[in-house]
Amino acid sequence: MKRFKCLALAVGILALTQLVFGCSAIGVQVWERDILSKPEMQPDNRAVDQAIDDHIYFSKEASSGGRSFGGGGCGCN
Amino acid sequence: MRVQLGGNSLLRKNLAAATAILLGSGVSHAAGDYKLDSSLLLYSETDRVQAAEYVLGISHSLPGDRILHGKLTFDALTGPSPNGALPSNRVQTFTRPSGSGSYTVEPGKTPFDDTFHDTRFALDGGYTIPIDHLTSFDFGGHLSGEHDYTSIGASLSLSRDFNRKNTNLALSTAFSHDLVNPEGGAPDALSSMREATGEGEDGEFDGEREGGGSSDSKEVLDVVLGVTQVLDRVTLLRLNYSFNRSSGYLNDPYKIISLVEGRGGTSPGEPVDYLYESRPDSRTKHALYAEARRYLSGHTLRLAYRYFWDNWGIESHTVDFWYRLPLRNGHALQPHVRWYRQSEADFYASYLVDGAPLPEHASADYRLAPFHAITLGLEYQLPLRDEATLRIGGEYYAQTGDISPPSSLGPLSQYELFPKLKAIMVRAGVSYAF
Amino acid sequence: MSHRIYSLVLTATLLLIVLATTGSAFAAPPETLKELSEAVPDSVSLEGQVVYVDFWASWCVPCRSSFPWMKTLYDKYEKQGLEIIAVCVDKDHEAAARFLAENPAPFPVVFDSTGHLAELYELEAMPTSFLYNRSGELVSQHRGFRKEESDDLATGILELLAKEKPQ
Repeated sequence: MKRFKCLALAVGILALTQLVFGCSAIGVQVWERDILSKPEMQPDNRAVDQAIDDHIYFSKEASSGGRSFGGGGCGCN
Repeated sequence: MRVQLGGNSLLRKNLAAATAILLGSGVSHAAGDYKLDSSLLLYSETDRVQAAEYVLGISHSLPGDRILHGKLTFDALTGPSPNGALPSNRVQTFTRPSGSGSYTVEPGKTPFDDTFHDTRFALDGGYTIPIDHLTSFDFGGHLSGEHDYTSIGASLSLSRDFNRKNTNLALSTAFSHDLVNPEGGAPDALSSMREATGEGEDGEFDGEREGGGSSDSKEVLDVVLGVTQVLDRVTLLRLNYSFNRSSGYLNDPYKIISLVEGRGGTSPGEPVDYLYESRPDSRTKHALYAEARRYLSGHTLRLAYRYFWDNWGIESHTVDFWYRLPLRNGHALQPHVRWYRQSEADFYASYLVDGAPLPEHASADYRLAPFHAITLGLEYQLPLRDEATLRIGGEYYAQTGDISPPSSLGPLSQYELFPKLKAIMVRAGVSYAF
Repeated sequence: MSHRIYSLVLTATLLLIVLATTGSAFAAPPETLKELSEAVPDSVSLEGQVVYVDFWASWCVPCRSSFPWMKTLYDKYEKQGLEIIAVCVDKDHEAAARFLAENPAPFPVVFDSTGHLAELYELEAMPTSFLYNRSGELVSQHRGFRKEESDDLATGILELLAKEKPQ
């Protein structure tokens, strides 16, 4: 299992560097961002709702984090 | 307009003055300088916890692309919560967390502590400063309090765009120091549940238990490394790795675990004592998160997956999907599905057996048990006017335990060891830019 | 395991800091006024004018807030030889038309839905503006539109208008 986790992590880091350095051809020009500028296409457009969700799930489940900080500041878990 | 060319700086100065007079009113207060986001959630579990949470977020754009942002959270919670003990064929009596008084639970019923009520107040603030047109820093602070818990923290984030702003790399760190001050003091791990001091019996209960410290603390470090990539005009991909390390007091001071009679006893499976839970004093969590958004002729789809693991032996998978279906005049309908499955913590035990050596760590907290959960939701979004939207929605959340029942320990095999949870959530939110 | 995580996070931090300090050079667009003058209506002549070219889109928030500013500028200085060309890069023509109906532009608007001009000008931000003197030479370019920079931007234009008088 530990090996799998290490592997998952390595793949993640590799994908990340690959995206930063290898993807200069991927994407759009600045004048083609009409759809990407829509609120529903912004990854953090629902930050307040997400904060509430994270708080609910943090207090009801054992997992947290991923999308943002792993939780804390709450005595609910 | 004839200007004497007596030097460029003088000319510029004169022109600047002229511009200020002529165009001073030309640039009005731009719409969107302030952004307000508020959300209210009502959470109701069948026969259990009822909660309400309100969050107000505000951000203010300042000259030089700087942003000041803050968030206010208020939540209130009340209702019975499982105390960790198992159902029994007998009437069970438990001491209230404060130590004064007790409550009884009918035979065959999952024991709930109904003294549970709390309000929490939190304040978050931050300031974003651009370094150049591609890079920005954010500094933040956090403060929160409830009657038995206080948290203070700080955060720092760095964000940088690459590849014509098609790639964004962000690194965030946060640190918080939390104080735990449980009702009746923090109990010693695996110590027997204290005796109740009956009301008025001696009237001198001071909230301290023998040997138990009154308060404790914990430190939490968070690191999130994320990359967001624009794949094409309609597709966005985000990958995050998050790391969380907490150390200090990690027990839930109100959770107990049944110590039951073993097979050789007169009534196997029946409780002989209740012990306060014991968790390790440090925990390291990791999560890999992937999210994709795609826009298809007006419709928006979002799919997210998270793989989580920690050094307590918990592993979980979360899949979260929503779909935004546009209706007429900017209205939209958004169905939501979330599926979650977790494995148990290494030290999770629904009960301990009397006479057997006590493990170092044990907890019967249902949140450390193996279970799966599903969330189904539907939201309606409607534009109020130019820069305002209202959203109202409802969600159903249910947890189902994956604990295999103990084969032959008396009455235990006939009971549900995982307290099944069903909840309804109703939410309303407004976003407004002005 | 734990040590490896820490070193990975540390490496990533350092990497990000190094990358953050290597800013990209501002790419100067080629002399493209000629190309642009072919796109504007025949009734508009750029000869001997101070030309302010603004690339905008209806979906871009700072672009929208630059419109009243450009309108004021144009109303005041058109007679002194200022020409403003608003190049609209909206792919959705309806969205652009809706915006223009609400914010009528007294200056010529050029539609560039294919991004042909935007590509020529090597746009790196929205909006971006380019300022030409009366001889048709590119004098400056400006990325974004911020309230606090608009006076400086206007001063630059007025400077050009005052420096050379039309023959």
